[in-house]
Amino acid sequence: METDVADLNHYECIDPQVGGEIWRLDDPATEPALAERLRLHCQYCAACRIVRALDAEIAAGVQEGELTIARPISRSRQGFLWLGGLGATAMAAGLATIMVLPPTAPSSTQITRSGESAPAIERPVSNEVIAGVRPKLKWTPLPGARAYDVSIRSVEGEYAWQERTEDASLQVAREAALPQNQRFRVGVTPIPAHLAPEGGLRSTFRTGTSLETLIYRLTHGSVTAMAAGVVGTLALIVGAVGLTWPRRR
Amino acid sequence: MNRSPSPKNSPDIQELLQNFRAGDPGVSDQLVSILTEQLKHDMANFLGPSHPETEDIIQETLMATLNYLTRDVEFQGDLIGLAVTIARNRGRDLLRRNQRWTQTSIEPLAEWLESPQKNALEMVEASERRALLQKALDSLPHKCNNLLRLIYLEEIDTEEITKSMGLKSRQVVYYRKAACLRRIKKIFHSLLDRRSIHVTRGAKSREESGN
Repeated sequence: METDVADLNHYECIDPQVGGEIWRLDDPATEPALAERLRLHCQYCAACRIVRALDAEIAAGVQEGELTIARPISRSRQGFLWLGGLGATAMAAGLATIMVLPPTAPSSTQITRSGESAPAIERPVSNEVIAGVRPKLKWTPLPGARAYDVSIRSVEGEYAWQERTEDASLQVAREAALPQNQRFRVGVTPIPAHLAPEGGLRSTFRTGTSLETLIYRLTHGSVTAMAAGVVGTLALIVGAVGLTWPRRR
Repeated sequence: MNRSPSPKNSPDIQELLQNFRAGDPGVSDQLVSILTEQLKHDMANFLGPSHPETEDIIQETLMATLNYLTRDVEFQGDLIGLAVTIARNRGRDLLRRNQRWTQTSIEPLAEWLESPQKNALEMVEASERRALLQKALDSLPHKCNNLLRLIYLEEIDTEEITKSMGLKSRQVVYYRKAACLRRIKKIFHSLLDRRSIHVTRGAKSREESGN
């Protein structure tokens, strides 16, 4: 048998029948003869001596303030902890989903007979509030279109920008960065122009602060994500209140 | 404490034990001879063949075993098991001591060593011991945590604990406390194991980089 390092710490009781009764040393009602025998056993038995030494060490450590025994968390508090944790996770997941997924476009009246959505500008959705000054525009590709003329004009100001692209998306150029806090109209004209749907591809959006964008996203996010966020927030509040509620002794 | 006669000892040893208790002077030599044979074999396995400390450990063990038998006249356990366990525990002491001495650097403790009132190694050991003990206490299950908290921290009387926990008698409190302490010992030792392995690996890598 090779002795390994891990084995060095595992002292064995030399006489387990006696060692099993060591707890009686704490009991003042233990007969003196038996107590004497148990003390004798401890003198020879390293394993039982360690248990007794741990007892003394804990008592001294607690007395000197170096050791502490944390109050165990009750089952109800554990429940609140779980509820709060799950709530926080759901809230974070809901928020992340709302911020990552595109906002819901207002209900479109341009429904085709086949039930498919009509071609439209997909981003920014109508009346969307965006935080950046160089948004990426995206629209439904039109079969047969060789290119698209894209134009952005401010409703109140003098901003105007036009660009041609062969793709169904386009990022506003650096030199054409949008001014803040303004409303814009965006129009996309396919080439040839007769491919454009009735009413053309048009949309409006607004540039705003990060807070305004957040508020917009929260009010126009996916219903499922918002429901998860709301339920998560409620669970988090209930969990937090449950944990901080004054406990009974 | 009711104890039935142990079936672990062979009839020969049982008879030798009885004669030893009866004060037969020649019996101790026979016991020593039987135990020495067994201990040599076990210690060779435990410490490795021809370890320089084996003989000392066997002598100490024989002394301790005979003393224990002399003083504990009710002993009915496994005699060879008793001697072998004493020897192994001493072997553990020895190996742990050697392991510690070869790996503890004294240089950073020079200032403490100069102080006649303080034993630097003891101080380091005490602080390490408390840190490990705290970890062990933190990982106790709910019931033990609750009981030990009442006993050590809130210093509530055993009678009160018995009532508040709905136990049948005070003895149950003592018994459960001992069970919790054994659990702490187990956790404490597993923490020591991890630390020992860590220290051993560190020493080996230092040796390798030194070479």
